Amino acid sequence: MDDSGRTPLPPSTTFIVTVQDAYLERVQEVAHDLEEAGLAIDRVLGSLGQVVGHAEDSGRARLAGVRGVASIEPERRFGIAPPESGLQ
Amino acid sequence: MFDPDKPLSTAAVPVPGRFVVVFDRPGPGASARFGARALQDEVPGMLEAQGFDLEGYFPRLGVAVVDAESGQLGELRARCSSEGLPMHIVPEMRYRILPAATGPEASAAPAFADTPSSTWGLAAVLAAESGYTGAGVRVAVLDTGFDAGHPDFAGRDVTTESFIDGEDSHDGHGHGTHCIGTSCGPRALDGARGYGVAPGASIYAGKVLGNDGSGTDSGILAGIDWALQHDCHIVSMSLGADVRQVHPPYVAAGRRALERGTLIIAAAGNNARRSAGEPGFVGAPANSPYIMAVGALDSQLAVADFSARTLPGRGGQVDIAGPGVGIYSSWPMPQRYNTISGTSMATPHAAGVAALLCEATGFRGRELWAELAQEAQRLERPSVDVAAGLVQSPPPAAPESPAPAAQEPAPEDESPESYYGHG
Repeated sequence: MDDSGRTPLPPSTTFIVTVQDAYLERVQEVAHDLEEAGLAIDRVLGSLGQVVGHAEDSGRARLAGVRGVASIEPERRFGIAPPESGLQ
Repeated sequence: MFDPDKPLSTAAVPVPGRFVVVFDRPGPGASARFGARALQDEVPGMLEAQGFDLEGYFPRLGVAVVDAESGQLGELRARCSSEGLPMHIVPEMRYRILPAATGPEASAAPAFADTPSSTWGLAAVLAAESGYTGAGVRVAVLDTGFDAGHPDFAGRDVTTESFIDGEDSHDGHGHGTHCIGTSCGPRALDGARGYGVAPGASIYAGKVLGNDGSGTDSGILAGIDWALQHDCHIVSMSLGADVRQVHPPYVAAGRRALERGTLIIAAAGNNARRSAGEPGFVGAPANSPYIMAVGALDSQLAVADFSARTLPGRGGQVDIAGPGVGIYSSWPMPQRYNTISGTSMATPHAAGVAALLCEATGFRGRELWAELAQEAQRLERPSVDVAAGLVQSPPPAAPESPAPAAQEPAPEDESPESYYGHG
């Protein structure tokens, strides 16, 4: 092994995967297939038909190709003003 | 012929000898005795048997326009009364076109103000006048959590959950407790100011924003999923990001929530600086087409300086407005109360009113959305800022009135407007 330096872990992104309406009753199944396609599952939202997980950015296309997937989007962050702010 | 010298009148005048028979009663909570089938099958036979011509009967509307004398109407009343069928009779009216407006309506905007017993927001949405409290309605507030030990909420039905790693559901910020106070807090307090629109609602406090005030899709969507699992009628989200792009996960989430009878209401955003010529735009997730976006009004019912304007594109509109400037509500102890501004404060006003309307009508999902818009008070403000206008609580349920006596047909005693209003 080359000891000149370790390869840093590839950057991981949290994705929100929305399953197709036709797969609403089979969210777990889709989640399983997503896992096989490289998604580390964080949450399966059975009522909404969404799966939250993380994967390398480069793996997005492969995940999007999983049967039953409607869309895959990187997670967003939301915020409100600090408590001392008068405008919320 | 149009006579410019003749003053136009919009007063409707009765047509002699002509009456409108309205089957069923107006307003929510009306009797279900007259379903579409009865209007189609039962009523025509009865009208004919009473000697009325069916030409003027509109079965889909349950309305008959008839020539009649008061004696004949009295008999019809008696028959309906004996069969327990709700109906009433008003004179047929003749209407005229509306005259052109003669100038700007100088309707002085009502100025609301907090009183020792109530906030201006409660007054503006007519919460106190409503007989409804949101009893039996489950309201999820997805925010920074809740101070469940707040004394104003002792004895309330509260369910909490945290979707923030490493934090319990306690509100370490204040924003969540404030929003829950506005939507579901006490409307009246002994010797203190009431501030809650729907004090009878069950509270589902989902913590999706950390004590630092930030959160991510995964927590927010998990919170919506949790609210759906609990079959919440309403989800209130006073959160957002100032991004113009519609975020697809919330399109699916909003649509699927509506399909399950859950209405998601979100803050339009605070990115406007209207005084500096910047009207702002509705951000995510409120810009999703299936999520109701709420703008903020001040106590003059003017659009708040910070309240975001409709974003062009599907779903980007402001849908309704609520009180959002100088809003007094609960805050985590020991501070107990705080007065702040934002579309975050307008949103729980809308959510609380939605809970009252839900209780009053039984409507959920898309029907509840429509009811909120239909019942809102129109404002003389741009639709891109306030849309349907100021959310309004339902009026108290009309007491069950006895069937009118057969001896008193007296249709002229009935107000001609009586079947236009909402109870």
